[in-house]
Amino acid sequence: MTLFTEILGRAVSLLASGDPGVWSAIRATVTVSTASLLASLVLGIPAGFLLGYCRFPGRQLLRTLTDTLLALPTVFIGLLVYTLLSRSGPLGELNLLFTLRAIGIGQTILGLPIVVALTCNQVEHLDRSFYISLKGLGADSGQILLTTIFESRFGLLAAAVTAYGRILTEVGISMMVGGNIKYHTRTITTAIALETGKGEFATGMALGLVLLAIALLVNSVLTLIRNRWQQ
Amino acid sequence: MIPLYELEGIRHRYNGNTVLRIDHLAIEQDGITGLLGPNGAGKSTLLALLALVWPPTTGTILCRGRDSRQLAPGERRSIVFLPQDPWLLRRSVAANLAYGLALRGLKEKQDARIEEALDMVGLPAAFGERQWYQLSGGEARRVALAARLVLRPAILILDEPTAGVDEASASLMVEAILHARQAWGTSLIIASHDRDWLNQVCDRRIGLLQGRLGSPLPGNLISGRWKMESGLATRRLPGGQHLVLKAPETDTLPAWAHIEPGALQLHRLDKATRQDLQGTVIAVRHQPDSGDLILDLQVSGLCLQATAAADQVRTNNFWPGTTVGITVDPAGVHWPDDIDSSKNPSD
Repeated sequence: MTLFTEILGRAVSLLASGDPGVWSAIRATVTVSTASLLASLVLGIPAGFLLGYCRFPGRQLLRTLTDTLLALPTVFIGLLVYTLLSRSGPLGELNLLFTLRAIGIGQTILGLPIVVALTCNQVEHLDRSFYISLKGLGADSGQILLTTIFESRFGLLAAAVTAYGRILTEVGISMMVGGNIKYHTRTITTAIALETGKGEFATGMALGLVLLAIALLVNSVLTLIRNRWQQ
Repeated sequence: MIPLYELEGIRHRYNGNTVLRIDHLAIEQDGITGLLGPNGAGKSTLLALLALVWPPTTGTILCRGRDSRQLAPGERRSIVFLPQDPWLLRRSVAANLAYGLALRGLKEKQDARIEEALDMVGLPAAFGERQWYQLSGGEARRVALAARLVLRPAILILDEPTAGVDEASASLMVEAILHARQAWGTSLIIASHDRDWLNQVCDRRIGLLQGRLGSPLPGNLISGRWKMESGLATRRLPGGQHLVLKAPETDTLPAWAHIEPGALQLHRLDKATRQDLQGTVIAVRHQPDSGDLILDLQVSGLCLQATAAADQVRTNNFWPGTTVGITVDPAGVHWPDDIDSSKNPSD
């Protein structure tokens, strides 16, 4: 109980003290995670729709591959992006290694299969009568696509929440391609890893609580949106 | 006058099975056309083709003399379809009704039109605020119909519009459908199991059986374990009687026998006539387009339909409750080889 009180106290004092290192990590975490989620949604929703809606040769294989990528380890993604962005890699000239953009690329790769698989699942579970009803009302293909996305909004919101949770809490990508540079690419998760390495367990756990509070805030906003849609 | 629809050489396949075969069919403009047929006959498939939900595998559909594939979006949208299991959008009732109007860019007097359509199906204007998950099954079907009526379509195609709703709701829906015809001159094509209702309201009827055009009277489809005995196909009926028919000229017996209603000849029991079966008349109904009557018969647990001249019914007192002898005319017995409702996705 004493340890827990100490951790909680440390978390509050860390935030209240306005420690620039902590606030920089929080800022970096929120900025890069949100940008990565948006990129995953922009790329993943149309891809998931096509995978769930269209019938083409190799579709089932692609579906299985997407499901498999849900288990992609973050360190593997980190390694992959590191290889691509390192000096000798194919994208080395972009000088993105050890930047927040590099972390964003890795986190987008992490979130993409989640958004694609869950969107595909939503579209697949829309009843056959959905398509017939819309066609019977006079909707063309583009209108059917937009209506499908709108009708799947609760599922898509769930996909966004799931992907954000995974992106927000990953450490492998941020560590490998971000480099954990203070005031620059240090995120909350890499800061926790660092503090734990130094034996500062209470600080590490306090940062963990901050991360949890961010997740709670995001989920509360999404729940509000969901409730508003249902009214 | 150019027909509303003209179908030529239609074949529609689903999962490798041909579920619709129509060489030629013309549906007249105006009025109400009824589509009759048992489950698996291809009614829903035909309606979906007429509603241009998807094109036929082969063949052409002319709508008011024009190839349906070349219709402009505006012309396509003059055709509105209510499927058997309509999907309500996950939004409010009013938003569901506004959806079709928005597709057509009709924003003027939207609220008034929505109110009018809700009123037509017997729902108050305040009902528009309800969400999709707050509706009962019957209410959802009425809202789905209102979402079509609000569009005031030139052609309205309805697949079992009153299935699964209580009598009061069904009556309101029927009234709304007939109002559409009177108020906007909407041409209606309706498939329904409610044969009595269709007979009352339809100006013409089309019969479908196994995906082919047939008599508007669907006849008697009898499934079960048929046994071959000395060139005759025999089926034991639940009540103990045996139905014996001339077997088909095939090696194996099909799963179904089809007996035309006219092939069931009725006799009074006191007359010394050969009788294949005995049954009880349970209902006598008027048959449109002819002076004959339709008699529903209970025969050892089976419900069969026979037709008889009104004079014959009167003279012999074939009224409900009377037990009659039945002879089956072999000329009216068919052995369809491909009835399989499980193969038909839409019926």
